[in-house]
Amino acid sequence: MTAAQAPQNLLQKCWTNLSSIRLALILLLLLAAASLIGTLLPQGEKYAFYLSRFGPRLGRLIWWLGLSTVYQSPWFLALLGLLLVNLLVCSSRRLPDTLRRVKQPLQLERYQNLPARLEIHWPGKPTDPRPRLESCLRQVLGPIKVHPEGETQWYLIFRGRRGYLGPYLIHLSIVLIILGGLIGMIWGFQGHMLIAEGEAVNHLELPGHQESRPLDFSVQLNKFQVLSYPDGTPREYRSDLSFIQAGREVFKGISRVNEPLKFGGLTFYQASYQTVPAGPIRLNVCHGNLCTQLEVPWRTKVNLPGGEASVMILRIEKDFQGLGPALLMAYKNGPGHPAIFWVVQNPPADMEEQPGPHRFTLAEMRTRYASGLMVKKDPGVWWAYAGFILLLPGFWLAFFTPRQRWAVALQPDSQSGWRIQVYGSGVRNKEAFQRRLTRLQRRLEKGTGP
Amino acid sequence: MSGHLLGLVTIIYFAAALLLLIGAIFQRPRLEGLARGALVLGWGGHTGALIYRWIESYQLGIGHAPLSNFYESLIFCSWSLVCIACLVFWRQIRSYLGTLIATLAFLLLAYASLGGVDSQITPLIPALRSNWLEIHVITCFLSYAAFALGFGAALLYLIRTRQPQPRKFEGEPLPPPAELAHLIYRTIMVGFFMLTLGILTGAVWAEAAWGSYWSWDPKETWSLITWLIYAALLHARLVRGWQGKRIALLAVVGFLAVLFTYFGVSFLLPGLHAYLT
Repeated sequence: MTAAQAPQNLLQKCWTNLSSIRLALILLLLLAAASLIGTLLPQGEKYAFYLSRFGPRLGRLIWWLGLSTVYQSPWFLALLGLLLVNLLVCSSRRLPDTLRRVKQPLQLERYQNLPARLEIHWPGKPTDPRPRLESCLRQVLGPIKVHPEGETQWYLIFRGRRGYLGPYLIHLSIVLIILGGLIGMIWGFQGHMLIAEGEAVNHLELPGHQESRPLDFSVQLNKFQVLSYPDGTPREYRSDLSFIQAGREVFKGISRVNEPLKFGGLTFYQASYQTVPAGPIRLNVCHGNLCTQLEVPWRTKVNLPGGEASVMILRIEKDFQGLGPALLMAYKNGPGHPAIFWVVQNPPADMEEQPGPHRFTLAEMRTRYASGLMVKKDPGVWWAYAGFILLLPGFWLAFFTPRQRWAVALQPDSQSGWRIQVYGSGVRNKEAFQRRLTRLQRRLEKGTGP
Repeated sequence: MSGHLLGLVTIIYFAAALLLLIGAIFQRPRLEGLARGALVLGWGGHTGALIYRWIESYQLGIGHAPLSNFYESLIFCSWSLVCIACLVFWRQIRSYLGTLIATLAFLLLAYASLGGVDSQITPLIPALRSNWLEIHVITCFLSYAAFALGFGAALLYLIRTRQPQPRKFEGEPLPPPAELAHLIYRTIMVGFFMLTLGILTGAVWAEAAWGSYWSWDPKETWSLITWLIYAALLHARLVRGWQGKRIALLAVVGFLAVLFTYFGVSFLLPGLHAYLT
């Protein structure tokens, strides 16, 4: 825009810029660049991580620019918002014009100037050629508009004019998708629950929150299963769940990977599982020839009798490499790092020896599964899905509905027959135009026969 | 067994590429016709090999479509390329562009069998056991294939319009720039539509499998980046009236994004889509 142009007030200027396709292009490429940064920089880490990884200066810069959480950062959302406004303003400015173009009656003057494509003579016959020609045109080209002009009968056809609406449908669906994302961000939430078999939980752990979110029902895990292929690799993880409200089971179902369960406006996804103890864990601890039995709680540091050494159970397994129940233990004796090793009931001869001086075997441990469920509420999903569905006809109209203008003139020729002249053009898809022209030619030539 | 068939297909694609190149350099349309026949034959064998691998997986008791690991994705990528070329751009399978298509199809297959890629049929992990797997992978790879064709056309366009014109040689001339520009547009239109379908099917699947239709996983994000670049290209062309070199350059940039989405993300960035390695 040059200074020589008529002065505009600020509002008009903003409006013009907001609706400009240039802004749209810049926004698209900026969003691409921002997304790229988000995939190259580790996302969602703590402040200290960026400081130690990138040095104090760069680390601080990354943090303050919001590059640690690009996709939630205010400037990224601002870009999205601007794209939304740009789309809406741009579409609303162009829509009336487009609608006029779609609805506009076909005008002979525009069509007479189309490039000539075909000329065919029908021999003279006493019968009126018009019904024959018209049905032929209707079949190959669609609805016709008849326009007599002196001796000449004109037929005008505008194919694929609905295609003009394609971009609007696409843009509307993009708006719906972005809105869906925002709605989900504002009114949706995601939480987690870990339920041991046979137990019920009535609250959600929310990431980054201290207190949990209470539910007005509780979820009971009746059973968790890992189903396997013949070669032993896992095929399916499933949780059999009951939903309990006011002491009564109101709903029962199975949540599998790829098949979440819906209840009470929430969706329950099978996310993880672990083995947890189903009773006390007892260990045999031998020091030299002196053996004792010891009850050790799960995930708690316990001092061994008589001094320095301590143990903690990190993890337990139902079946460790075919050796039965096992636990992963951290064992610390004196200064230095703790040793970490597996403890089983009957260690085979080839099992790696424990560091000592204490030796451990498993005396008693019953286990059960606990299932980790991801729980989600997202009221924006249906907005996004509406956008997804609308995209399909939008694309169809915008890209695969070639616009073609046709004009066909019928007039008596010198040998008391009829001359048919075909004019037409299809700007964006010449191949489709050519195909239809060939079809029309074949039909018209057949029409000349006896 | 499907491996032997694929070996044969690889050789046929190579032969087709060679015939197309020779046909172009020495201006022998007959050879080109022969090469197209070979390409279709190869594609038939390729389809057969895919079906056979599918059957083999059922015989192993883990039946699933051959679309689940890196080896299978390479095979399918090559298949998609020839498929899109034969079905949608049949008339472009000639001369130098035809050579590019056949060479790329050959290279993908050769890499799959000789590049040390694990070709074992393995069971599907629970997250992949879904009806969305096939449609998601098919639409994504068809889009990659269409974009690859657009990239080829863009390369030829840039060579054709290079200033100063290269020394004249006796082979068949490259197609006129207008034709190439139109081809770039058409391939990208098809690719963009397919990529959009791929992203949408992926989103609906992710909503069921990962609990969110969009989670900024690197693969998702890179497919979005690719989508944004091609969206910019289409707007620049259709609304701003960009022509020629700038569009060709954008098509090249877009295809680089496609390559990174396919290979780069799989090998360099950790994420939920890490099935390939």
